[in-house]
Amino acid sequence: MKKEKEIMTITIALISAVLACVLFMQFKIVKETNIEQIEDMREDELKQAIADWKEKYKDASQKLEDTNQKIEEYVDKLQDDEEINELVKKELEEAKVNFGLTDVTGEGIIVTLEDNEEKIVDADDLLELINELRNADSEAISINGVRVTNMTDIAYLSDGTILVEHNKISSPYTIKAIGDRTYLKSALTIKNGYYDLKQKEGYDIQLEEDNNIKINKNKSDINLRYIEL
Amino acid sequence: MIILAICIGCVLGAIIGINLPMIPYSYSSYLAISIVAALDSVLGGITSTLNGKFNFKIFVSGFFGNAILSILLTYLGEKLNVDIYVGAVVVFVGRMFNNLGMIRRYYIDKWSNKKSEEKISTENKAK
Repeated sequence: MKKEKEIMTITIALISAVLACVLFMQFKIVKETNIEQIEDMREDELKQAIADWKEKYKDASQKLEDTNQKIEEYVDKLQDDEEINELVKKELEEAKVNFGLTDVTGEGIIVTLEDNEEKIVDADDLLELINELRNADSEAISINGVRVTNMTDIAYLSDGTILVEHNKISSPYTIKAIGDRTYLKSALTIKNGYYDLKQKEGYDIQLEEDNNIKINKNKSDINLRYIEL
Repeated sequence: MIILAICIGCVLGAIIGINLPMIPYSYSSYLAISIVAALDSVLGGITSTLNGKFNFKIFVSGFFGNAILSILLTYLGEKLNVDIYVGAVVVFVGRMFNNLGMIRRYYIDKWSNKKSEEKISTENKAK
């Protein structure tokens, strides 16, 4: 009976020792874990965290890709815009040149017509000459410094002067034309051509080539009142 | 004698427990559930002692058996991805409260009995 009690006492002591041991171990674990939370996190928690971060990474890279694509699109668009801009600018420039809104220079010929005792230069002579020049692909024409465009009027006045684009001009008439100078010259000096005929008719006409002809821009305003744009 | 044994055991266990190496956090849930089971057994033992129904073999087998069973259940729960240890905790803590209630009732009864006895004895003396 006494032995049994002894065993019981020892066992209870052992049991309480085990319980206290485990308790304090757990206390220690919990305490330490709070300090180094991440290091001792549960495996599945870590897995969850990894999964979460992976998801986030995926989202972020997707976003990045989308944004990059957008940027690319914008750059493309910008380039396109620039190209269009360039094209439009060029076209505008050409239109301006064609319309005589800018000063132009280039190779061409200079024709000088002068009144003399026999003949007086008429508006028709100038018109004919301009037609010839246009026919020979001249790109810009001026008469006595007045730019000739597609809207230019050339009219003969009774006092012996000629009206070009509402500018009164008189002899000598200097017609400058920019274009292929050999072609222009040959178009005029062809047999029975303009130069020949005028000389035969008794006009004072001179023709010279120039490497660097400067033609001023059209100085009169263009007001569109009836054309609907 | 037994109380002394318990005290010595607790102090020794605490010293050993503090000085033992750390176990990984993954296993701390097993440890915790076994502690809850053991505490439940201890309280159960106290209750049965007070009721005079204490059986040493039942106590020891319950102490270790419950602890091991709860660890196994927790392990199974982890494998099944079900928090079985929550159920174990609920059961053990509920029983702990039951036992505590019994212990409390026992001592309150004892105390009030003592008081009434004293009262009776003083009344007898006065007579």
